[in-house]
Amino acid sequence: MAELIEGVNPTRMELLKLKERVKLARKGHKLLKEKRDALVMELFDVIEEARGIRGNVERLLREAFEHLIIAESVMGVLTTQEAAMSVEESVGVDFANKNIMGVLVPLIEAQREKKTVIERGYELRETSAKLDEATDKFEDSIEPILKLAEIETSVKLLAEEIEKTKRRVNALEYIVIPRLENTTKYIEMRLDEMERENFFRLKRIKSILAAREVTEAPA
Amino acid sequence: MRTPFEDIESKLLAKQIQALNKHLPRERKTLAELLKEEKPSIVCRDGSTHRFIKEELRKLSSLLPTYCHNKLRLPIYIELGPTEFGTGIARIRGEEECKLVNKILGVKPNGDKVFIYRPDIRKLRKELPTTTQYVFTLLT
Repeated sequence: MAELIEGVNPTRMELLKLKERVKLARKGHKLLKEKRDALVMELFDVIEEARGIRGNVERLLREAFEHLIIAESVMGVLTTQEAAMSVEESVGVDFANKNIMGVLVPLIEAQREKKTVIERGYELRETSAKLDEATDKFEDSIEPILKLAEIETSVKLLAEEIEKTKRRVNALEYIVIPRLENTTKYIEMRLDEMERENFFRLKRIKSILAAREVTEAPA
Repeated sequence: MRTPFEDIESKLLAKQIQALNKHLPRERKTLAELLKEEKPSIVCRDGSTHRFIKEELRKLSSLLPTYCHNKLRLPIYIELGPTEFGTGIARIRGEEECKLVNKILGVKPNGDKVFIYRPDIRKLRKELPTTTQYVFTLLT
């Protein structure tokens, strides 16, 4: 059961103030509930988008590493490393943000064009075709990896925000509003009680005065 | 006549709504302006930057005739808040905005505003994830 607000004076002024606060808290609660529902909706959409992407990335990387292992066994580890060192960095990544209800969600875009075997930069005479295949596979997996990073970060950030909003909604629903309502009820009861006491006091005074009049009246 | 309590209440509520809407842009840009930008973005009230996806802007430009590109201000606001009909109802205002919603969802506008429900909100957000934004307000 919700408690009362401590140190509150049972006056009509205080009662009016509290009634306004209850109204305000209810409006705030409704707005926050809307935000929570919208955030949950966004989270479900992102999760739906994420379904399958992780599996796809894992499959692409597994294939790429299989080709790399074969290339290493054909060319030797040192030659493969040498070829890898001679490749220029080819992926430009554009990081930006999109704002979903105050949550800054990353927006990652890869800026690259697929390179031909000659453009990659390693010596073709010293390398195996398996290395080209491995490179192809690794290049293909870049975009899904970036998408996965974007989605998984979004899920994490949205979930955190939902938790925060949920806590606020629950605090209003189960603590603040019931406490305000209980205090309002308490003041109303106290005011009613005071009114009854006053009424009874007046009645009592009246009866005392009436009795005095009877005794003091000349016979 | 308004009582002093009502004034305080409206001030507090305004403050709360402001805090809920800190993700809104300081100034909206038209579709035509954004199409010209290399990295189309706007600055939000909390100081952060919100980037639009170019592909999405191109999609919007294909849905609307060219003379509307200078009138459509982005992001489109999806206004959420408690209404007399309950919760989960959103309002979208503006002539061009209504035309767009009509084209995407097939919902007929009522003058320069349109009311949509949760499944439609979801569909709209899926279609336009960066060019729409939620606004929290009292829809009265």
